[in-house]
Amino acid sequence: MILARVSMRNLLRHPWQSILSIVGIALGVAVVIAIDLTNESARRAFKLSNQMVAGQATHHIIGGPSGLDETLYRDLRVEHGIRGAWPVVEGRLRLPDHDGQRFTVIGVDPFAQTSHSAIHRSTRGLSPTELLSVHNAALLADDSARRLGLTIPGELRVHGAKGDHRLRVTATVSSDNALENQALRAVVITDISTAQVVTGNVGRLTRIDLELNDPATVTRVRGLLPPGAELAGSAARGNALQQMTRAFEVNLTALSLLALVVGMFLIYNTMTVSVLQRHRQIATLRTLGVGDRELFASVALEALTLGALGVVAGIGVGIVLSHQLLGLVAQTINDLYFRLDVKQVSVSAWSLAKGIALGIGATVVAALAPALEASRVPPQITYTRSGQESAARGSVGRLAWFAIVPCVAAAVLLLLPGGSLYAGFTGLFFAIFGFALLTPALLLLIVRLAHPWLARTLGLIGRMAARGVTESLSRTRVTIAALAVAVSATVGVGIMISSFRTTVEHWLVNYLRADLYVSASGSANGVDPGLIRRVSQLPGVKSITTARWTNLDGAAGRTQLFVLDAQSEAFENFQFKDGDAASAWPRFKDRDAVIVSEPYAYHHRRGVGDTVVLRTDRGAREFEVAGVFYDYGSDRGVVALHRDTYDRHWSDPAISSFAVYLDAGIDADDFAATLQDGVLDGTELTLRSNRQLRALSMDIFDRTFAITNVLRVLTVVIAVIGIFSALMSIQLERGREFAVLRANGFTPRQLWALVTTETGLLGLAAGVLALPLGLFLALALIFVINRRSFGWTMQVWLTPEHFVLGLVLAVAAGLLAGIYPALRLARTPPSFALRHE
Amino acid sequence: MSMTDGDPVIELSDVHKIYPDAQRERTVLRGINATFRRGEFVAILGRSGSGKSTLLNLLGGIDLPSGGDIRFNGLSIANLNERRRTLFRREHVGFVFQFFNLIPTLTVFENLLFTLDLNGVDRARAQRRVEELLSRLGLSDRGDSFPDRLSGGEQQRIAVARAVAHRPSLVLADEPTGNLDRDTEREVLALLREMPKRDDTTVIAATHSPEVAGCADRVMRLQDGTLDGAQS
Repeated sequence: MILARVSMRNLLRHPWQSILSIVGIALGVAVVIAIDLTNESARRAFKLSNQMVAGQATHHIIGGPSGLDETLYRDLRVEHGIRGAWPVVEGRLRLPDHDGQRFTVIGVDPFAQTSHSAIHRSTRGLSPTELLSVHNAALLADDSARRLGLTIPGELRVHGAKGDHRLRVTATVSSDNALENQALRAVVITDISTAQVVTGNVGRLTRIDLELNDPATVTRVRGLLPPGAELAGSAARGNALQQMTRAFEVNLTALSLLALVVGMFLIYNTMTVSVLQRHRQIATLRTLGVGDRELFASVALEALTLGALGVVAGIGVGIVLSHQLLGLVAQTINDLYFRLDVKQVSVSAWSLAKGIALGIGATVVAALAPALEASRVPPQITYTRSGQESAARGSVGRLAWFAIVPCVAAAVLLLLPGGSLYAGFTGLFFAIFGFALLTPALLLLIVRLAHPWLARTLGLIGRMAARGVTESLSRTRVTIAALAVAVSATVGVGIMISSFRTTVEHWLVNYLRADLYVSASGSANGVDPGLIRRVSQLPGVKSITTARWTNLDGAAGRTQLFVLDAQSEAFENFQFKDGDAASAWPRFKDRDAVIVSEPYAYHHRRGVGDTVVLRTDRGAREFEVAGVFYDYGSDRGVVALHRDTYDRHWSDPAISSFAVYLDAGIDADDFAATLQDGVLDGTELTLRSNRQLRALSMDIFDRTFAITNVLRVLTVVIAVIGIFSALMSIQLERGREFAVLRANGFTPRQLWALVTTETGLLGLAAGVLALPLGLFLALALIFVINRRSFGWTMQVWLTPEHFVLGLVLAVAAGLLAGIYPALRLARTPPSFALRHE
Repeated sequence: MSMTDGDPVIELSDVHKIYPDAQRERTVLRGINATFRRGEFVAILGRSGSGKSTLLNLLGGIDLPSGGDIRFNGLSIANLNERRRTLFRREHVGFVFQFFNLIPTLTVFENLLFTLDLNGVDRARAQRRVEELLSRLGLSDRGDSFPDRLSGGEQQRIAVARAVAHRPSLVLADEPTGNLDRDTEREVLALLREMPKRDDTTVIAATHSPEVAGCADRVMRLQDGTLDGAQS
């Protein structure tokens, strides 16, 4: 229909405005798609590795930190006739001859085969003797052997728990499935006993995989388990593990949605300004017989065209962006949650469909009001710009009153005790919406306050600029709200991150009091107790505390245990949120009490005097909670217990790390050099000074928030594009007014000054408005979102730089947006503008 | 055709129009009674602010009277809802404005096609009609031009052609020559006289111009909210 042509031509008549809108919505959609693809790829990688581990297994038998006695497997299979059972030994090893590359060794029973789907399929053509006929035989993936430059058969030196071992690679394996091949990339397959030797767990199994298809057998197997072993469904176990990253993913998704919301403001603003500018044309169309529904559809079509183009571009940009973000997300998951090898973005149709639906949905929602406005334009050709502006000013009070509704909704959702994370984010978005409704009233107030100052310093131009802002309210209010929201997000997130960072720094200073830390770098190898004894006998060593970090996996998820062998002074390093060191220590040391970290207490709703149930080697047992301590190392929480308690209930002598306290006057750096050369040389242990460990912790912290910062920047970029587009169109619309000024003696320089003062003033207003909203967002993020996501308490640290940066950013965006129209208007001869308006 | 021999097209009975102002109500039209007949050209003269445009808006169903009735071929316009009045305008009314108001994003050809398209005239017939109108205007070579490339006179000629393109019963012209020089005014006026006549269309023009009044079949004066010479 010809009306559609009117719409399309209108978009083409303002190409820059259209392009900037498309770019804005494209970036919004791109950020959403990129985050979703990244999250989805991480989830997929996790599922893949879980599937590779689980294969056809429906259940797993899991033991404590030291695994299961291998006789359990024999008993199940031979004594009790459970045929669908496969033993698994799993561990980490290093390849010293290949840049220390880390591999996973998986020990399988060649006769029972394995439930590992990738291993099962890849080893199908091989005879069991491939692994059993040769001592220390191993299999490698084709790809790994090629990468390592290994000829088959060939020898591979690996470094395991008790030192080096030479494995004989007798054959290579590969799968028809590309994803399974990827899963096999860093895997060495051996028989059970070789894996046990290499991992230092002779006689022990990591777990037993089972294929149990009827409930009666499940119940029967459960009854056969020794104390300390647990039967867990493989799907439930995988889900429980994956739940660990849920809050992290939700936070990223929310931040990406904020970018889309800012993009929505942009579409809304473009369409609103476009409708206002075409008021006379729309009235003409109405007079000629175009109905309200047709006009509504026509404006909606324009918006949808912009939205659709933005979405198409957004998909492409989103896929590219997801490749950049994947590394950051994977790094965070590896730093904070579990080991995840994810290098490829898997572009799922579902993620793209969600992005498309959100982009189009956001466009439709954003276009509703302007389309409605267009359909309500009366057919009279009595358009006056001043009429529109007085109508806009008239609505300021109503909008401000209406803001009460979303503000109250926000308060309820944010302050309601026990509210969910989703409710928190919904509350945050309501608060932003309420603020956007208040923006026009606040903008008028700011300009009124700035007016005398502008008049004094800039004279006529200052007065005109201030008047220009209030006289363009119908066009500027949404732009200013969008810029203020984006800047406030950057201020708010900035304050939150720096508060969090400062809190963590302070916590580390108190928590890390030893001079040196020696750790087994996350490998299962542990630290040799003999070595610790030698270190403790070195002159200058005041005391040593040891720690064991381990996980208790179960159907309900993973519990991280921190086993501490320390004296009461080291115990005082804990900063207690609930309880205190003096009263907790005796129970912690001698009476089987534990202390739990703040996130653990939050997620499990536990406090002092409550109990936590842990699966010991002798079955599940309740432990009293003697205190709740601040801890920022894990967002899922930690249960800390004394080594004596641990030894009473678990048979796991391993030590993960130890801390060295030096006598006063001993130089830590000198001692570290002696320790490294004299004792630690040739071991797999890592020595870090207190300073280095703190620096490392802060590096991890900064890496965690790298992706947040990227999203912050993208949101601001979208808002700057928005203000650029809107202010440019507003200024160009006033070409005739400026031409009259030029005709009456205004110099190009004065015109330039007028336009940039006006846009700068708008930027300043957005900046000023962004500061309280930014502070509010920071407080909501710290006290509500962060708490509901992770359970951490943070202190608020306000520093002026975030506010100054927000203000500078907003003013710069305003000034930048004024440069092009100012230049163009100043260069246009007044006669041309007067003739063509 | 004499000035009285056509059937009545539009009849006004006791039409009032009152605008609520901030301080007090402003009565623009006070009990107007008038009849306009098929094929006649009526000029309505009056000073600025006398209510000429208001009267045209009421006749075109753009606005509603505060009292009284307006009947188009016996149908009460005042009783129609917004949608029906829009469809009424689309089908039966053509408009000519002082400032032309061509759609800037459509070419001249498309501007003329517009009302035909709205009325669902099939494409081939509509195109033939537009070509015929352009040829009569002597602007066949400007069909692909956008309105901003035309002179004021050319734009108003196109506007007149747009108003009659779909052969409405009524053309309402609000100061149709108010923005034109004397020579162009004569050209446009000739078109406004000649083009609707072919289809027996009634033209009602609100104007200050003695030239327009001079070529009307009937002249009415709007003063103090009442219409002199209203009876035809």
